[in-house]
Amino acid sequence: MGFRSKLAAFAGRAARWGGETFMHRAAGNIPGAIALKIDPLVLTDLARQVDPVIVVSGTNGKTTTTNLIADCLATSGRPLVCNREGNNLQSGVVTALLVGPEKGNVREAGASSTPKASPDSQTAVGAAVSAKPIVCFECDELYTKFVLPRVKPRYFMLLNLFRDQLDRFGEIDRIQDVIAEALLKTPETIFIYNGDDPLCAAIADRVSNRSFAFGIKGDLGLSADRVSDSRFCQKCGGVLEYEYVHYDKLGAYRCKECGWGRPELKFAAENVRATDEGFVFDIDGHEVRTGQTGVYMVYNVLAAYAASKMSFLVEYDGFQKSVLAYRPTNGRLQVFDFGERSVMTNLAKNPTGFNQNIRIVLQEQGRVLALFVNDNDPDGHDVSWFWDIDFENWAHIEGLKAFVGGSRANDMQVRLKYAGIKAQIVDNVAQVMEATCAEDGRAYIIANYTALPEVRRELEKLHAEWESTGNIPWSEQVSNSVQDSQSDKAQNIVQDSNINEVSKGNQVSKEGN
Amino acid sequence: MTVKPLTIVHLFPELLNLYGDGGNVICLRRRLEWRGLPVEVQEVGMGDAMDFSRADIVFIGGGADREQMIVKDAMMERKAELSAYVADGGALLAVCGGYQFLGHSYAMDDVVVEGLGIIDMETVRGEGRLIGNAVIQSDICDMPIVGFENHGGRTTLGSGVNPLGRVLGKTFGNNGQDGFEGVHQGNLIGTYLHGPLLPKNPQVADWLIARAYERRGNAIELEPLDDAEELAANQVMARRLGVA
Repeated sequence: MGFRSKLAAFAGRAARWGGETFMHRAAGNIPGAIALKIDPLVLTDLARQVDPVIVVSGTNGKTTTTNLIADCLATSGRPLVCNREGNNLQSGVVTALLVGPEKGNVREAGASSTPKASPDSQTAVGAAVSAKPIVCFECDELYTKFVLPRVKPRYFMLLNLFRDQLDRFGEIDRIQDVIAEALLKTPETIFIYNGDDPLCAAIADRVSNRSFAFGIKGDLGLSADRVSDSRFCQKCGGVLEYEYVHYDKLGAYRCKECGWGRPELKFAAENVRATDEGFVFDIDGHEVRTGQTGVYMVYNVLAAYAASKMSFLVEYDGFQKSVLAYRPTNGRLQVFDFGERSVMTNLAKNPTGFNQNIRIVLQEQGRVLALFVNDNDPDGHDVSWFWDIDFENWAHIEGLKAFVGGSRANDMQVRLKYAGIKAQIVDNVAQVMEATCAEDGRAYIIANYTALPEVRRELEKLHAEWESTGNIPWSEQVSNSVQDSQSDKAQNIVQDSNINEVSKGNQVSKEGN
Repeated sequence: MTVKPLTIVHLFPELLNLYGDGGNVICLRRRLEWRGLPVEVQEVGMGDAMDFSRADIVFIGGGADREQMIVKDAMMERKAELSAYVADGGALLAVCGGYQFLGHSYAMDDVVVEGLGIIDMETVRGEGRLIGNAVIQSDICDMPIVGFENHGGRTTLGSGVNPLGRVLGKTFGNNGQDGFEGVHQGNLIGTYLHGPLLPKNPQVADWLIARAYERRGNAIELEPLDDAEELAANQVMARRLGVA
């Protein structure tokens, strides 16, 4: 490392130490941001000191898949560096490298696959440095242009490309251009991508990198979503014909005009079936269990399988154990238990994500739903995509109680009204629980990027209170103001006119990316 | 009285739906249904024949450059019929890319593409994109019209062509220069504002519906709806942008 990058790394680490010691905050982006200020090329130097196995990108599922892959790679017993919290800009990647290998990840190969922190894990890290730490990063789609050429990973994985935050990203075409350019600058990197997604397959066609596709073989028998990003040929603009669609535009496609179509799948999930505990699929003679609901988990787990296999660092047993042991702690499909009632939270930040959540709620026959949506910078300021979500599928749920919160609660309330659902504006989760205290069972809370951490923090607090006191941490007076959420079809009468602006208290400060 | 269904023709919904534009059609349909008025939505795809003789409201959304390229020829093939429909007082709403189609020409990357020429206006490419929440004051309704704009094109109306409104606050409008937004000519509205446009601006939706019935010769008094939620959403955004 040169003097400048050493200084940059030192300043970044000092900032991290200061932040953790005096402000009790996890590293986030700040140490990396400081180091990049001092030396914009610090990432190149830091990356030379590690074994950069894989960088993961894509619109949906980055954080979950990156965590799954990291858990799988950790079974190799090698020290591991990963930006698990989803800080996926260049500054987040640099921060992860400055922080260094995770504690508790270094074990004898073949030891228990459940990572546990031991008091002497620091020394274990020290002892294992002879083997360079392996690296697994998630990366924002547009930042691949900095991160790929500097990290030069062995593999770059692209999960999918959906419409997301259009006012920030411009159009999807531009994201494709950026990723293709990043790959062209790292010709040694092997490209692993979702072959079921025409937008990913089109990138593989444009680059000279060695490429392998993964995908789901066979019709899952799911109905197609109403709006799709692009069911048109990436080569000639002709209409794509689908043998089957799993969701959105993911499936087995072929252009009627020019014959361009889904590539050969190097990793194919076959015979996918739903069980009470998530999906099961077959691959390479193994039966893989996803452990979690949602078709998109099939893709995430399949991607983790592909990464594990390509890395030559993971045994099948370690892979399956890691997948089943995976417990999200970042609000994604996280369940908070309150005895008679429970709350499931999940992230959705674009129509595809929401449509997947709508299916999960329908499948589990949920009746209490709350949507928290912000329009801070990381969320995108344009919320027109609310209208591309098939909320109409919820309108038929009997006794549905719907709630909306966040800085764009009013917009979501209008969207739901036109889907035939009357929703009430709330400031927080406790108000949802109070208003539905006559209900039992599970409440479903779906939040977008900056709204989710706030929801999660509140639920963690409520849950801690419940655990320590044994009392339900919200008021249990049945209020009579809440009625079923089906709006009267012809009358369209609104009981209480919610002209109040959503309280500022619920606006979440910018965090994450 | 049995009323013939109001027919909404939605052009190329598969391709021109960049910013939730389909929400405009959902909005029109619902507002008719809530009043017990029969409505029919006709979606016209790429290969489909278009029949404007039965159309009461035509809607054209916006697409990304690549999608606009795919539809432009199909659009031009219908130039004569669309022009005749508008000249006959047909109600039409065009948003974003759909709005740009209405002029003599528009820019796509660095290429100038011939438009439908229904409105005397031109769109050229400018430096950077004009992006943000937007609010304008129009003379077709009392309330401010709110939405979101995101366009690289700069549109200039010919002299004597009426804009939809005047920009308020930091809104860019047609070109970020002359303070005008959109176009309003007869029963036609073109605008850069999506959001989608109609749900949070119910007066604009009802304006289109009223024009459509008028043209048919059975002008009916539109029953007022309870728009508390729509108006609240409109007001929250207008206030945020400094317009009370």
